[in-house]
Amino acid sequence: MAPKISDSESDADDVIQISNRRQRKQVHFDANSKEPKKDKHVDEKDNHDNKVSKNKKKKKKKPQGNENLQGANGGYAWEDEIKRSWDLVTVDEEADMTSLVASLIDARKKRAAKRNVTPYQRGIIRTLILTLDCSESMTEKDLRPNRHAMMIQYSIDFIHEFFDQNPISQVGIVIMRNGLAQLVSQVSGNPQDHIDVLKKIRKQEPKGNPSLQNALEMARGLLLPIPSHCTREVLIIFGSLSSTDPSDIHQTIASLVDERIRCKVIGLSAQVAICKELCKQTNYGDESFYKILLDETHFKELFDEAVIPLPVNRINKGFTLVKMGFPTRVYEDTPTFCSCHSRLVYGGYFCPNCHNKVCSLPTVCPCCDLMLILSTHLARSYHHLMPLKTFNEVPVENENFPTDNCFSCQKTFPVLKNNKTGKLLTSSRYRCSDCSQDYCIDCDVFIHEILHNCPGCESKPTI
Amino acid sequence: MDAIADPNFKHQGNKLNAVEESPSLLTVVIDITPQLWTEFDGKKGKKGNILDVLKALIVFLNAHLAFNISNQVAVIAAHSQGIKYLYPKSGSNSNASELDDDHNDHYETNTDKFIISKNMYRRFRNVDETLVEELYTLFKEEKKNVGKLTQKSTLAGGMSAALAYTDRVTREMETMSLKSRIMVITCGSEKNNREEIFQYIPIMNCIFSATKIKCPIDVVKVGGSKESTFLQQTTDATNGIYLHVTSTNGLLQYFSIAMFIDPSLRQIIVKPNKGSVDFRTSCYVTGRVVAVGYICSVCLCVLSIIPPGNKCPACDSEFDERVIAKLKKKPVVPRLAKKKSSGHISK
Repeated sequence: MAPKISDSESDADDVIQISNRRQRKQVHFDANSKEPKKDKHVDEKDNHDNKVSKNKKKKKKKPQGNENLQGANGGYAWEDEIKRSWDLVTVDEEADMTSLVASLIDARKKRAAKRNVTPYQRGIIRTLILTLDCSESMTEKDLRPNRHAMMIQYSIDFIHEFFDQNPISQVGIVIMRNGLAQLVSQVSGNPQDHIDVLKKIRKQEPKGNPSLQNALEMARGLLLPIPSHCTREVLIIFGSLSSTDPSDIHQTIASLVDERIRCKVIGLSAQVAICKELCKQTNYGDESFYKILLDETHFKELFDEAVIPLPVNRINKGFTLVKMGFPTRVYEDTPTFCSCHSRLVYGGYFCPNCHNKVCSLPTVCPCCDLMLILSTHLARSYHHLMPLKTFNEVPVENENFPTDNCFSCQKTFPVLKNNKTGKLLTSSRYRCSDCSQDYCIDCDVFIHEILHNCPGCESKPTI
Repeated sequence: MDAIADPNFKHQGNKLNAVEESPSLLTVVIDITPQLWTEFDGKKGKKGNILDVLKALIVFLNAHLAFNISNQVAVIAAHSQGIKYLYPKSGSNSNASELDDDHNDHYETNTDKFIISKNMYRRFRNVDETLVEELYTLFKEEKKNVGKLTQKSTLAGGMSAALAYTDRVTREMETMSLKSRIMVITCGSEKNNREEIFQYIPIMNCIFSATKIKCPIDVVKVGGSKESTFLQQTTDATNGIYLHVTSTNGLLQYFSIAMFIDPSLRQIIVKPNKGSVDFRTSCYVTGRVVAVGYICSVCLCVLSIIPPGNKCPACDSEFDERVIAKLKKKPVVPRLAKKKSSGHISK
């Protein structure tokens, strides 16, 4: 009987502790609420980040050393305070949530519009091996309808987005299933091929264990013949907590480092030590390439991050000239065969090197191996090299704004006021520092994610 | 008997519904830079060409509104000093334009009684009046801007704003499956090739976002040279129509024939712009047109020669020597050398 009693005692202790923590936190937030409201976003974001790191800490499987287990306050990670997302919401006595919700939505969009704007030298011509986990753990239903279905759906979106932003890049797809790595889609620059394959995999039931080593070896084999001006990247979606490997994976990682292959891992469940090490080793000590998702939207965000080309690393640089052909387009009254698919088509493009007809661009000339592109494909990547400045939120202090309408879409800026004090929660205006025009949040997101042009700056007559 | 049974009729009714057109948004970007138009006037020996264009435009907009009750229009003017929304009225001076519509009506009908008859269909009148009024104030302002410095056209800004507006309206009317397109009206001049260079990247960005939001961009170019490299590329990439007209006579007919082709029919109907599009690029160093060139893997600038010093002239990054050596080696074809040598021997 004795152990039972002690059990219940410890339970009681726990309860008390938790309530203590809650009280402490309440005090903390009361203090916070005196500050201007907009700080809350920052706070929330910090917390969000905290949560990420905590997830990592809490769910660590293979301990690497004691210092890794320690939380921010020096104690063990599991001794940290529990922070619940719903504790963050502070409501006035009036309990009017509408304006609060609106500002929260704004904050989310803001995060989406926040991009790194430092112009880096980036590896624009990329080769990426997308490695998907199709093991048993992917049948888990923590993502709806299950992990597998969601991963495939997002992968399809990713392929679309990837080729939209990186038109002269190539992708190959490998799946980890039944302890094996299978090459399901050859390295190529045609998005439709990959999407067809992914749709086929969607119907396949995930099975067995994943093998990281096998997948990495296969990716390495695929990336070996890639010339040095292309980046070599591996993106792994990993849902399992273990890997079934035939031999020492550390050797594989070392060979990846030698080949300058950079790995990025998106974890679906918990942090796995070997993935962390893999990312750290292959990215020159940068651990930020291993991310664990928090929810569905975060999963999407992580995928989107992988679309942006990586900055060229000092060690990883391969500045070269690449020989390319700019074909001329022809219109024909009678169809002729194209050399790439051997199909009868009207018109197409003539390779300037061997005068061979291909039907679509970008492609590699099947006859003389010259990379054929249109100048527009190059232009599509320019915004990575010359990113648009981020717009700054206009401070709320003075309530006299120069305009009531968004410069680009003419939408009237919403007035979000705190019901009690009558103060503006946000100005809802985002200003370009160059042309000092104000934009609404939706335009801000549209301009930075899709348009990559500031309408205000472009409509100035002077340079 | 089955043929006239109830279900058959019902089915047909559904089909009719499906055929009904979905509403569409037409955003017009018009370049009204006075300098260009006066130049054009001078060449044609006829004054007020822009008025012809504007008249045709107003009828065109009314026709678009008449097609479907939920059709919408927007007009953006790119003038010498910036861009301005002509319709819907930009609300910088008054309050929210949409809320105050009725109020505006009163005000305008009082002042402009003689411009537009009161008996006109209300939706037409709303658009026409606002447009005329805004244009009037705009031209008054333009008078003051004579002689101010202009280095580039503001057309790209207008197109960017049009895209942002399209995006907003599509988002607001998500449930209605709104179709949208953009029409650019510009006046060609002989010497605008130079200033086009500054427009290259912004126009390219516009093209990509237009393809992304599936919004065709049509271009009408009045006068000037027949080609307009960037605008032709725009229409080509977005499945739009490029129309070059030499005079403003009968412009309305051009508009109504070429510009009303529904985007979904464009694969079937012969468009006026069927022809070649200039996709050439020029070398960064020599300026020559390039067919086979070298591209810097860092900044993507196009070179027709291997630059001296193994350095990219645009971004200053140093190239890998081994690769350069390989590229330089290429023109020497071993077989050819053999042939030559054998030829010498035979001689």
